[in-house]
Amino acid sequence: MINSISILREIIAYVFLITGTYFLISNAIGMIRFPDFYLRLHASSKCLIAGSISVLMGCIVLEGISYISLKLIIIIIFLLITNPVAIHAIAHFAYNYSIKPQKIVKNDIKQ
Amino acid sequence: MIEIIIIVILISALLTFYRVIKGPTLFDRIAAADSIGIMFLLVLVLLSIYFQRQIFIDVAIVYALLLFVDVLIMAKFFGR
Repeated sequence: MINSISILREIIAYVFLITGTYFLISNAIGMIRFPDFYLRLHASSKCLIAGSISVLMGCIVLEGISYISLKLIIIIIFLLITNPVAIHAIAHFAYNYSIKPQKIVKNDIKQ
Repeated sequence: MIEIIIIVILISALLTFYRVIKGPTLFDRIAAADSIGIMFLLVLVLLSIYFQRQIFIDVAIVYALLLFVDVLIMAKFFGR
């Protein structure tokens, strides 16, 4: 009974880990293949936060309830707060540096 | 199984490093460096699970905090 529960826990943990590595590989391919700066920023923000949170959730399930999982939950909350702030700051300063998107139809920010 | 996942994350960080070398603008390099930093944070957490060392996770927390401050200061210094 205990053995089957531990096997089920490992299966769930490895599903989380493999999903996270898939998102990280898609982040790398997006950083290489996209043609524009803002498209690269889009791929970087969404795929990176999904992949990192999925990998950390897999580590929490693999480790069980202890001090290590508490620290991992702290890292997850910190990444959820800070990564959109950092990406938004990069986009804001890059727009003020006059990097415009390619093939733009209508610019809503410019008065 | 964890070794294979660490190697795949390192390969993905190596693919992202292409954008650091050959970025057209400077902000591409900053965003790619941010991605590489978070990937190495995940490698650090997975190494802590693999070697059963608790001290690596404390290093990972401090690394995440310094990475955030680092990216903000670089964007504010080089931007306008």
